[in-house]
Amino acid sequence: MIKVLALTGPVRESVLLDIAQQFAQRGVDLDVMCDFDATTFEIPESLAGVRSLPIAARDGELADTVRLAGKPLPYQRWIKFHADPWFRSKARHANLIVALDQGSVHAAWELAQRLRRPQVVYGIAPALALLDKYRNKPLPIAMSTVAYLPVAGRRVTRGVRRQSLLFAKAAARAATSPTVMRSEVGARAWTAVVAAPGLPTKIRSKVAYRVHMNMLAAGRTERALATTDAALARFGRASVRAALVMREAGQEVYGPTQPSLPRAVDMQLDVADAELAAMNYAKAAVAVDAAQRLLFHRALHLDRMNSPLMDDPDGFLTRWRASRAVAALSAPRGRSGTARSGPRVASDAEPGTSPNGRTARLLLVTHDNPDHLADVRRLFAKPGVDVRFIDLADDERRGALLRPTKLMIQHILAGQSAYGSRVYEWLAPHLEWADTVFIDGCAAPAVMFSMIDPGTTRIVVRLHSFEAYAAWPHLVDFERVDDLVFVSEHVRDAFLTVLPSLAAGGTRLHVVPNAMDLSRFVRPKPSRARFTVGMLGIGSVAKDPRWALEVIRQLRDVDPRYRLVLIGNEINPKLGRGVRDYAEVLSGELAEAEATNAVVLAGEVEDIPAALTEIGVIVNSSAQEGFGATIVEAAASGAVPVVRDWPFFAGREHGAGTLYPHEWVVSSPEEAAARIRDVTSTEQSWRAAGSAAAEVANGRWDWTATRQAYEDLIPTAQSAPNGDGPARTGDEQATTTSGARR
Amino acid sequence: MRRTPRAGGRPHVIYLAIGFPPAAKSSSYRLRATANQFATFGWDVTVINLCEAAWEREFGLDRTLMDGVDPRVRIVELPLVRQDLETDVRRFPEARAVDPARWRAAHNRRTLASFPDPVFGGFRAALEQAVVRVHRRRPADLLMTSCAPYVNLAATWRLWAEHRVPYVVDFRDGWSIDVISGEEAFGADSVAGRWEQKVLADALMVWCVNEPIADFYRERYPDVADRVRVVRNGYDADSVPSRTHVPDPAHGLTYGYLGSINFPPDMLDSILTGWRMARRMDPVVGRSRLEFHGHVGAGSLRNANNHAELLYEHAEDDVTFGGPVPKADVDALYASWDVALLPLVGGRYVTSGKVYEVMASGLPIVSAHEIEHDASNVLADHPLWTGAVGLDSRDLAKSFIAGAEFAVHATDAERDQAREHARQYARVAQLEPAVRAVTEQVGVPIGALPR
Repeated sequence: MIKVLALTGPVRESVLLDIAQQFAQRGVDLDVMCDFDATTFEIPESLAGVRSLPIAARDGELADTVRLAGKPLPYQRWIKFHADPWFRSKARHANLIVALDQGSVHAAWELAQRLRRPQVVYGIAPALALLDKYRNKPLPIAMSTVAYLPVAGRRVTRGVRRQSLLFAKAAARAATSPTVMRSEVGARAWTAVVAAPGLPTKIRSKVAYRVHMNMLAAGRTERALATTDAALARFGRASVRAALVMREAGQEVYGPTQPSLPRAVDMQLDVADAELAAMNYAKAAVAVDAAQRLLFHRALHLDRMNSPLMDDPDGFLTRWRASRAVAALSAPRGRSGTARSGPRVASDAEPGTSPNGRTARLLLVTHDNPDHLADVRRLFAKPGVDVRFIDLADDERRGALLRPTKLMIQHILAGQSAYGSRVYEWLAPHLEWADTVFIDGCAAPAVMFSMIDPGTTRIVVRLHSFEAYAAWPHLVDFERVDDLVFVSEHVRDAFLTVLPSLAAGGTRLHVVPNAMDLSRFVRPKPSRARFTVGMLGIGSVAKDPRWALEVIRQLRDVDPRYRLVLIGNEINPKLGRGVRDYAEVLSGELAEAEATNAVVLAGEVEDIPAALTEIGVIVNSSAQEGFGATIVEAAASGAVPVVRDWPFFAGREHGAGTLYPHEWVVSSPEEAAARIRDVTSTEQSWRAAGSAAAEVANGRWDWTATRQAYEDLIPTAQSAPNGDGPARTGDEQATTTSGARR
Repeated sequence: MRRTPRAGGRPHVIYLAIGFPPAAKSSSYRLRATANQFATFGWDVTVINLCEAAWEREFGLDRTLMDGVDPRVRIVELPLVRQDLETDVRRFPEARAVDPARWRAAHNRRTLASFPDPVFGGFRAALEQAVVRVHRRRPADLLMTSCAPYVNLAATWRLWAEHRVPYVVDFRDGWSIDVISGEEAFGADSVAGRWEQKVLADALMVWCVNEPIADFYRERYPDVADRVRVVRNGYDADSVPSRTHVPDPAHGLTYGYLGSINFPPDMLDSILTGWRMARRMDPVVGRSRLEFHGHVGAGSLRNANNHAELLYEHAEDDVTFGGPVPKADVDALYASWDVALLPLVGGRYVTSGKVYEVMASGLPIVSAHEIEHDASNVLADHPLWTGAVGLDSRDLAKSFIAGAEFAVHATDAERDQAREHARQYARVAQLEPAVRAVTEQVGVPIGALPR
């Protein structure tokens, strides 16, 4: 039987199945090597053996990732394929090797240099044509031994050439290192090289980039910018100039300073505005998207202790706000009606019934975060309200529409697009059904819903915090959003500094905390919990667990009974260089602390209420929080809260100090340690402080206290506070994203 | 000085018809019909085409097309193939395997350096040598050249410059007009612009497929204006189904499209989204299916590109893709449908040959193209046409539903009226007067030649 090995990058399951069936019709033995996770595909083994590249998840494979970084993707694919013994074995025995996509051609070509027997083709049609040509006959051997000799010889030559290049690259790296750049002589010499006439563009660009980055690392910012200027002056094409500046800015976001960022954003927005004026919406969208990816990069705002967006929003967003293309993104797109329902006002006689007297229809929308909406679902799961819940990420067919920001931008600028039609086809039926759409999070779903005229359907968007640092709100037409709900005052303030026009716009602004069922956290706490300090959620740089480690270090300097329990998944270092750097330092400190039993890494815990029974003090060391649900939950359990005065909001009108009782909030690890020592000095003082915290938490944030605010926000026919306790399961009419009822 | 045909004997026309059958290209039908018409008018016809291997790399072959080629037509096949469509990876140089985009850019530069035709420019020398060789063997009285590919103009000019063989340029969609955008494709001072001006200046005649393109050339080259003629594509009689499918709305209808699926993925996306919407809005359409037949992609991308993926993605909406259909089976395919879908790119400068074939089928027609499109002019009086609504999915959904209503409620009289409307566009009816005019202009007395 003819053995076929197919190589492919990401492809849809239906496409791969169809390809497998076409090969099966020709009676071949097919194996497919996939450069993506195809483990969920249901391809019968009788049709094809499907092999997915292992997803690199272990620390040990990080080295591989670093080694491949910056290499062309087809080369990366070849290296990853070739490292797999299964792949090498299948290739050796194959009669036909097929590259199914362009990204696999390099890998197929490398196999052709190593194996003389198999036919090697690019494309499904030529592969099938070859099999049809030799139907019921063996495929001919591709190369004779004699013909193969020069091919093998060239492979040796290439290997020698690659080694030489690697050596040259290593020498070049040493010659342009930060150490060299610290010296004035070295820096001047390299600036001169970059500015030299006659240097090929590609080499000038590469050298300029390396010199720029190493000068920054050497602390010579002005010289770095001047070197780039010298290179830019030598480039004839605007696209080459933009590519260099974008590359530099793209790396600087991970560092302490971003001197290239303003210029990079300028360049992109200049292009965007020019292309918009020429009605080249696709090109304008590419440029706007490039600018926003830099400006709102998570490394600038979420993976560090402060954000330039919060420190100086007007300065940071000057060029962004001046762009005509950006202004076009949030310009009103029109609305054919006004929402027929709204929040309860005192004069309402009969709140909540919809026109024609039918029950109110409420659609709850999330994107892969159903837990965040659990509170609202619980509140409205009652007779008299027809509730549908959709998690847009669950729609396998259309979920991909949530990702392409470029297409969203293009659609908004152009006013129409194939992408926009797809979004309309998906979401319009929901708008037609609902009286009120409650969207959790001002991100992709809010953008997509605002792409459609809601007519008289009321749109409510709830913000948590991170959205203020992202581009999403700038893509929303707020004339199509009736209400914005902020989980705290400082989140509202942050949002208004980014989008000040909202304060005077027609969208109603509300501050309504999360509605939480805290009763499940009220459990007896044993005495042994007194010296256990807990931290819930440690999986991001913004949580800053190193600050909490400093607190426990100071506590244990005096009393070794204290220990820190860290609950939650650890930081994913793959999120970026800044995250990786933080994670490396944290990892070292944790190892040291674990060795002395100062710290326990509990990992992800299913039963949080049970885990909190062992926590006597809850510490929050975040750089910023929207609401701090974990603090509230732990306080409800009787753990004494110690909350860092979140640096993002410290010194402003609202922050941790106004959200929580002032005695909960501390400014430094020293203050935190002092408070903990104080409240835990005796068991009595500890339990008293815990009870007080629980009383505050339950009194302010339990759903019994906050539900009225939601019912006033979304009045329904049964919104008199008559319902007691959580809703019975089964009352809520949950649906799938297609609208069919489950 | 123009040559006059030798007295007695049959005049000889060299026909540069790259894409002649058995190439499975949409232009093949026009090329075949033109060659046949020349043979009918008493010419000896020598077609110059590329070898079969070239077309196997592209959209493939349809040997049934050869059945309709006049046996008097002689075909010369040149051993030229497109390197960019090579699929044997062992033939790839390292540079192509490692960085296909850069290799392609360099390949395009080399091609353009030879002649400003980014795909076939590299064939210039071989084509020039071929026409000269054929002429030397049997002197030509006329050279008929069909573009694309535009590199044919180089070979045409060579034969004119060296041997003063008069020529006709069948420009079809034109060159300096971008029929998709409606904008000028290149300036008069560009390399391509100078070529076009030079070759058209001495052409006996310039053919275009519709009035907007013809008007463009009349305006661009006033001295050539009286030699520009509209020769529409038309349809072939053997594509017309002899019977009409009886609709069965209880089991749904069959919508169909036959042709190259080379319109932009966004456009296909809009059509398929409109289809999905229509299925939700209308119960008959909700029970119906949409078939696509034809070529998707060329070379390595045949049957495996964005279009194919989009079609597979909509399998749940009863969208199927059936691949190419031999010419001989086209009439049976149309006979199995209830509604014809007509997706077309471009605007006022595009007609496409497909519109004539679809009209001749007598089926209701759902248009998926810009409102201002030459196809709209052709379809204006068609009784079973949904109208052109643009490419917004919501509007296309309504058109799909309107197509279903036509299919279910059309009377026999309306279907006959639809076919009658199409008859004026039969391909022979379009080409015969044009070839006659060329024959007369060259000085060949019609009627004196053995047919």
